[in-house]
Amino acid sequence: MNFPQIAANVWKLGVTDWDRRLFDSLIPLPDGTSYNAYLVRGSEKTVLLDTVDTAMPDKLLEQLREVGSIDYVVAHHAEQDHSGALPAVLANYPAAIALCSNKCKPMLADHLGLDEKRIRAVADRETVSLGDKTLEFVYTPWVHWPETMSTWLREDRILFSCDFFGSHMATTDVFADDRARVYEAAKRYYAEIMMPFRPAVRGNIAKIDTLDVALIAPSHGPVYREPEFIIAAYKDWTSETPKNEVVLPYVSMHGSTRKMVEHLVQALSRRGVTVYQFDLSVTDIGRLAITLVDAATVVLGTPTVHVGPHPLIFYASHLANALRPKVKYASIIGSYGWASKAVEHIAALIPNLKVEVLDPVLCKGLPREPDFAALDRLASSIALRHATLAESP
Amino acid sequence: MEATMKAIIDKNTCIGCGLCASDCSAVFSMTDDTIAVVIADPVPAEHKEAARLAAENCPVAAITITN
Repeated sequence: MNFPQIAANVWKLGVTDWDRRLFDSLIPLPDGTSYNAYLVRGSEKTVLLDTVDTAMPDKLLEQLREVGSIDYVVAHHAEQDHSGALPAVLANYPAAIALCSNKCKPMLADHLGLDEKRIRAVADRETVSLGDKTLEFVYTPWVHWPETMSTWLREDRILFSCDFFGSHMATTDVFADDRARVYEAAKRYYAEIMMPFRPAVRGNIAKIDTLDVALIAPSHGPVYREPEFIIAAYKDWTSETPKNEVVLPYVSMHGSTRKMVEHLVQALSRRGVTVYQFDLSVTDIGRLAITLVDAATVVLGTPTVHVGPHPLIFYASHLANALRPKVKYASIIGSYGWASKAVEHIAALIPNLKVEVLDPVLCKGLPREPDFAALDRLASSIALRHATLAESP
Repeated sequence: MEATMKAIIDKNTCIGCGLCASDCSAVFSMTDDTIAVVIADPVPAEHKEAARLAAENCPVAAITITN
């Protein structure tokens, strides 16, 4: 077959979506993405693992013309980017049965209108024989939805992990050998969809740690033939110990808040703290999400529009609240024209963040010496707390 | 003496997503994979924080924490 072969009788199919620039009508995709399907041919049965996005079933069906019969289609995850072409595949292969987790079965019916008679739910750790190859299903909830599972191909030691360990990345590379590039794409993906479910992700990592994995084949991005690289990265990202880093998203309308931001960034840097400064009017929120994975502190810089924070700060605060990063400290800085309720507004926006709020620094109009001194104190306060991070649980 | 914490799940509201059992497996468990149940009553002191997190994270707010 004319597809990349990743092991004996195991092929990578699917579509590389070079031009997609937005996912969920929200998340920027600077490098496009891919929807990977895999074909495993045993001595008796043939299985397709996952399909492709709802928008492009024809591309997968074209690939499958070379394949002949299909006995099973594994649906790891009901979301449309992987199961969207499942109805078309089942329609073209009337004898094929979809295999999925207990929770996935009704979701496939709800989201894709599939006939439940074509779907068989499999239990956690259930096996299905393909003849000389064996599939073992491993429930991996919350990477990305509650119904998500992975498949362990025992004889070839391949974990088909679906969204888990995936990366939004269009590439001609079959394997994730360009580690620097894949690391960032995979971290972006983790930050956007898995970070809020860290405890569940840790549980899933522990589950796959018991397997002697040779290859991890996700449903977005390239295949890992050195899986310890991405497993170690995930362990780092899901740990509850943040790093000596500050994320500083800000907006400045007339430059006063920007002056405060620049001063604070310098002050933190002099104290050995790494800072990520983001002008929200031009920021890729995926980059912001990446930095939230590790940061110990978030400082929001906002001017006052009418009496509250700038709307872009509402957006960033809401996003951070939803992603539930492991941040421990937060503060607010900014300039106002005549009065401000920015602090009260922002505090109400981030109830999920269990943070100690450090003294905000707000000033009327241009920042002056006392304001810069207050920013220096904030920087010292942050650096002092960060110095204890490695010791805290 | 420290107050006793209890976790209560509204069985009619729970959709069985399993997030509570992932967030705090010492207190919440899935029965037949369909609905969550409380397996530690009262909530042991060392699991209180995780139990609160599970209650906050519940997508249908089916968990009540009393103490």
